[in-house]
Amino acid sequence: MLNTAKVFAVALAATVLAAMYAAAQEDATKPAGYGHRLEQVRDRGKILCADNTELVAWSWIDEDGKNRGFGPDYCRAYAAAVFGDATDDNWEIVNITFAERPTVMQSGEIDVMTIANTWTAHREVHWGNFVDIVHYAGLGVISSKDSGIVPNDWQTLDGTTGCTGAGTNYVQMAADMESEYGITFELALYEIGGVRDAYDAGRCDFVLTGSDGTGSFVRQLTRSTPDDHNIWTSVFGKDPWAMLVPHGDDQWFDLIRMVGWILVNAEELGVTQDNVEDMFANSPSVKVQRLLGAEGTWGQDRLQIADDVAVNIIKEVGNFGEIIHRYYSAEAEEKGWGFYRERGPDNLYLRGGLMYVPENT
Amino acid sequence: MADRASVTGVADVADQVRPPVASTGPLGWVRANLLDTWYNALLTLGVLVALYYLVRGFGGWVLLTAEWAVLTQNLQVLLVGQYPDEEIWRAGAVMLALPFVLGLGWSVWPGFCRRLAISLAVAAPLVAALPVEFASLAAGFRVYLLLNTVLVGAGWLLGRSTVFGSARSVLATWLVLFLGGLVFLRGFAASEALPFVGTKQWGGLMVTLLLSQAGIVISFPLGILFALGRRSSMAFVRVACVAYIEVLRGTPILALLFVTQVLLPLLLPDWMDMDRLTRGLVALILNNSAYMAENVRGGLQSVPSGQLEAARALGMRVHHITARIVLPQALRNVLPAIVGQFIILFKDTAVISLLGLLDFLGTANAILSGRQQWFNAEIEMFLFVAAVYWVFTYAMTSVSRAIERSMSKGVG
Amino acid sequence: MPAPVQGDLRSRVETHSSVPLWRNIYVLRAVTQIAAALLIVGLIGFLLNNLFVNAEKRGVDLGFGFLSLRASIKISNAAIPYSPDNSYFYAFLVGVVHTLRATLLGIVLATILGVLVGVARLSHNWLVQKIFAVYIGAIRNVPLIVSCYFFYFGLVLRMPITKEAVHLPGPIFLSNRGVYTIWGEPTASFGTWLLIVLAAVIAGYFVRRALRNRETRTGMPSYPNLAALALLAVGGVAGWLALAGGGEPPLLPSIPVLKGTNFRGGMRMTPEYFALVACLTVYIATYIGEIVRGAIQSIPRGQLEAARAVGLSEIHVLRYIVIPQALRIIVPPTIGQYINLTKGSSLAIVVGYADIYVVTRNIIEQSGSSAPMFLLIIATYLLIAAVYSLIGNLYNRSVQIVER
Repeated sequence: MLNTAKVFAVALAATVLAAMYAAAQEDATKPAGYGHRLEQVRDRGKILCADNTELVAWSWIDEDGKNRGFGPDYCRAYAAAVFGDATDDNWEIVNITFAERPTVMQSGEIDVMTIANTWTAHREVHWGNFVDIVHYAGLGVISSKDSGIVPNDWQTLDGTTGCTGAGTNYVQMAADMESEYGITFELALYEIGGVRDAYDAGRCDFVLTGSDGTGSFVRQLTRSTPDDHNIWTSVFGKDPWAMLVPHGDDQWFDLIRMVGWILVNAEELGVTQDNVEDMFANSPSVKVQRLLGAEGTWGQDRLQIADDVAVNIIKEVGNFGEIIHRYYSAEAEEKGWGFYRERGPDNLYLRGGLMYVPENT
Repeated sequence: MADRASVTGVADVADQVRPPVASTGPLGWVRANLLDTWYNALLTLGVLVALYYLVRGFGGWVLLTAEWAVLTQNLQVLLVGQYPDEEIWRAGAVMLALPFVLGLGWSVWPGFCRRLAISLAVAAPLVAALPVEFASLAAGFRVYLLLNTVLVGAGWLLGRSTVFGSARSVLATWLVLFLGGLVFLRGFAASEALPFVGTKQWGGLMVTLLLSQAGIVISFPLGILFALGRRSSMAFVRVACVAYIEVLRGTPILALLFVTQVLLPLLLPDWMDMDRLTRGLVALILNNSAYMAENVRGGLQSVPSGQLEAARALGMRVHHITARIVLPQALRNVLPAIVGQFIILFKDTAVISLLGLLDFLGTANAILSGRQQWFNAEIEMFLFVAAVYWVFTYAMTSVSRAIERSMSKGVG
Repeated sequence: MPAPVQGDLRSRVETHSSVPLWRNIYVLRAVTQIAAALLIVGLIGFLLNNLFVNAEKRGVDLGFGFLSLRASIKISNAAIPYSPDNSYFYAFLVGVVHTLRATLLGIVLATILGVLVGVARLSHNWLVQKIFAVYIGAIRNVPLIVSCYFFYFGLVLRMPITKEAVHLPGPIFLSNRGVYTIWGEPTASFGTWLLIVLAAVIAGYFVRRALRNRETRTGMPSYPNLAALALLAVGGVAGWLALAGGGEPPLLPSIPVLKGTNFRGGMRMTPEYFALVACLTVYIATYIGEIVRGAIQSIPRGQLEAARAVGLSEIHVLRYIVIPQALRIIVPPTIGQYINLTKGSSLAIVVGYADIYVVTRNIIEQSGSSAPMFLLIIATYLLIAAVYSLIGNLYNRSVQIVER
């Protein structure tokens, strides 16, 4: 008995030591700053994206139980980059509430956060590494016409009632707005779905929200009764949205960031979901060939992804413009997938927007 | 005097003395129960008028105004969440364990389960016959509902005619089917027939039912342990158990859920990571086992000390006394309270939706917010959600009440 | 055969004295206890160690220092004066006050409604009895959170908008921005008036005592309660009139007036506060109702009949026979329900009421300090539950039947 136990204990200790040694060996060969996230994702066979499924256009669950929206499309793009394609099994949306974001990031349990995330200094330091801005919002206002609030006149918000999401940074921005303009208003806080219901019922006169995006659900109301609402063109503060990865893994951060660049560059070069195969085979453009990986690599090997990673991604979700079109266009509105909005700063720099990413060369 | 009585005659007496007020029959019942005094009559009238308007308004709304498409269109998501389409038969099969076990229970405890089992067996075909479109679930869903009836009957027959018909084997069957069901739902990474489906894709009513069952299975024995610990003569064990019970009973379930969701990953080493659903389950178990311990303690206190002394005098070992003498009596004495605690656990599972977990209520909320066409369907949706919770809770309450009745009769 | 028995006994005693260590009950118990202690301490140590290691690794701040930083979040309709310039800790206190405010009102209302339900369940009127049975069955079997959703989004938000507010006499305005009623605005003389009323209360107390003594001494009816109330009323009214004559009355009526889309002035109960209190009240009242019913039913019929036989009026039967005995049964489980109500109030987030939990979540969002905040929340709830239990125990002791 005792002997068996001893043998077992020794064997266990040896295994642990061997594993530690192996781990140390492996670490030694890794570039500085690289972590294990990519291996974890590959071992798991699945990439986990945190999102909230209560936002039309950005992320929701359809009748078949499938996750759809801008955020899930990015998750699919990441899956295509890591695994070659996005199947039902290799990407997953983990539904979280907005107030849970900091703790979910700190626990490190998810790979990338595709939720509608406002990028702030505090969050960059405390939550994780934000990647590139995918959407330029500000704290926007949608006010009802009977409220007597004059659009774009902040002073007229004084003494009225607003609604916004609980646990969002709009709660703080609202306080800043009050002190900046010397006004006070009542602010009712809800989970996202509740904001729309409360505004619709007349509980509040205006909604504080990202100048679109989170405002999408209110936009839906403004569509059914367009004459009852004012959508302000002035915004308060800066509200840039970006995807977010846990701190401490440069390889993973780079990989997620490159996917974003590929999507934007593809739009710039006219590579679309439909023509990507054709372009890959036939395009004479050096830039296109470089993007699609026919001309060797700009670092795919170091990120351990396929040379033609861009082809896989674009085949899966299309380019940046196509994704936006899928959820923020007249067609999207008709399908019930989103709503129409002008492309503002999230347009390419060539067309007067701010989307200006480095080349994938 | 006698003269006068005879003079007035029978006919006069009949005029003066009216026939007694009917105290039997429907009229008498109405009089005795609704109109016995003037203020009761007024009350009855008022209530009747209010009822009339309520029924008319609500009935009209249900039949004419309400848009029930939000339910029929999303039924699959409401029932099993994001469980993959191709694998949905697995979810259906696992959920069929409940009617089967209920049928078995019927054969063993007819007094407690008969009405429930028969109700389910009758209700399922009725729902299947409803003239509505079940969207993506289509005709298969109707067949599935009929299977419920078949399995109740099968369980009953099996229980009556084979060895399955004992209390112990019903509980064992339920436990085996439940745990096996979990494995079956989860599947195996390498398997072709049963591919892996993670708990993040589980959802809807299925998750609510699984969570409640898992909560019962785990927190019941834990509760017994803590109750015994609280009565232990060892000071340290006692103090630890008291602290556990009191702290967890005093904390709202929502706060506990947030703690397990957010802090558990910090409290456990990396290699012990749990998925979000399991963490929600941990909170439910922590809370519920503390309450269960208090219920069991009540039962332990009700066992006369003479029983213990007698057992000791017979030379029984301590653990035998506890397992064979004390616990069986203690648990029987507080059975209604224990069932009541199961009901509370079942209702508490709804709170996990606030942590973004897609249980029945969470799924309902996600559907309401996800698409514009459902934005205004809250009342329909919440009524449906409330009705479903009600049905399950009412079923459990009726069982608990039957147990209580049989105990007060001394049958127990 | 006495000798063998004796020998047998002795040998047993000897065996007993030479029980080996591993079978000695005291040693066994000590060992078990030490093992249990090690296990528990080890488990706690394991968890704490993980917490510190993981917190360090992930950059989570576990200290309480952030509590003194500027909160910078907005809390509307705060029950105590609050601005975003206050500290996080003060913001947390606002949440605590909100929780207390909602639960105390809920407790009062649930008790009233619960007693009503309990009595109605015993009504001679079959219809009333059944309707309340249906109410209890419907509310109790549905999770509280579902009821709260339904209350707020299904009922409260669907009340008329402010322009079409229901105008009740008073004036009271009902709309989906809450309940507005007329209210007294204290003026400079309000403090003086309060002092006068206080004096009247003290005087009334002594008058009541004196008259009561007289009543028991002489047997003459002296109406002590009535006299005390009259004194209070006279003092209050006289003080009011004197102050009003001397300049301004202690309270000026503040009447809610619709301005824009909100009412100004008057007293307001926000729809969120209303919905939370309403759903908690309706839910907990079903439990209190059943407790009350059980307690009343537990009083032997013979006592009631005897009381009536000696000529007590129905009111006196209630006052001296039913209530004192029923209360003894009612109070302990009802305290438990009060604690349940307090814990249930954490569902405030469903209806958008800024309770301790909602404020905490906003604080965590700003500060990122989740662990300390949740320690604070749990401690607060435990403290509240402990206070209720203490009150219940004190009451229990005071009404215990004194055995002679």
